Amino acid sequence: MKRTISYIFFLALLVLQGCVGGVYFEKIVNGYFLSAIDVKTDMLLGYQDGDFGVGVVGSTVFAVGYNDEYIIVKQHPRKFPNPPDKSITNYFIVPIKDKVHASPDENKIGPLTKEEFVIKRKELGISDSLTFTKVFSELE
Amino acid sequence: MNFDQATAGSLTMDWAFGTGLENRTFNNDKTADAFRDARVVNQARDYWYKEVNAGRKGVNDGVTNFLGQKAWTGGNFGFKGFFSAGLDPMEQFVGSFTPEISSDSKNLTFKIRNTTSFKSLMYGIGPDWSRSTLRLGGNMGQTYIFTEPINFNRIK
Repeated sequence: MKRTISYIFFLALLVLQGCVGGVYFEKIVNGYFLSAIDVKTDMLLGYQDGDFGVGVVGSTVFAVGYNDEYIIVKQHPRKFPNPPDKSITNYFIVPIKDKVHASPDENKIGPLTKEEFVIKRKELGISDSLTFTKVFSELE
Repeated sequence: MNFDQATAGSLTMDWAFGTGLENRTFNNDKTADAFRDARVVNQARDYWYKEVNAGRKGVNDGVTNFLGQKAWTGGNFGFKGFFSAGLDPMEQFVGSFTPEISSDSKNLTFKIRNTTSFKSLMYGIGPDWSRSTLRLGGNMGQTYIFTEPINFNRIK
């Protein structure tokens, strides 16, 4: 009887708690992180602004690369609740040092096409050694 | 059983058995109202006023993908959320979520997106799947929308 009650309580707790945590979280550099709350396709690039985390590049982020000055990001745009549109790849450049906007969620250059991204990174003098080192193949 | 308990119970059953609509929107209704005072919504609202007061945002700017205070495994609900949501069944059902704020310079519109999935229920362990793969426990999307007037007394 006691065991049955414990099982019922545990199951009720599971149902009640919904999504307590996220499904993915990884700190990358200088307060920036990758996070997915409910499903992997929620993957976004966020920034820890004091106590709060804010999204910088929305879902679905599937590749990033970074050094001390820049984060480069590849994203398939996703309009919730639809899956990401894999026919489109957006590129973003997030400056870590020379910010382009005072508000951290707006501090990004993009969305850019691949061609625009190549031109912009040359313009900014981003080293060729900065490549997309973190890739989520299941989201690619 | 009150309205929120019934709604949360029905959503839980629909998710578990793959019944009802795969995606639902609750727009300025009683269900969406349950989130007006949710912990992460309050944090998002405070953040918006703070950014406007600091001059980093204008009154017609929004906040996208607000993640709030990080809790266990990167979500924003965690045990703090569990206790602050108390017996609110809708907040308990949704758990971690990312609110978005848009502004027309008179009103703030809060949009909360949530996917109920097996993976999120199991704290990130295990798979998630769409209903087209398997209806039982398949991903179910919800959008909760509510609007409130900007409190200009909070803007310096």
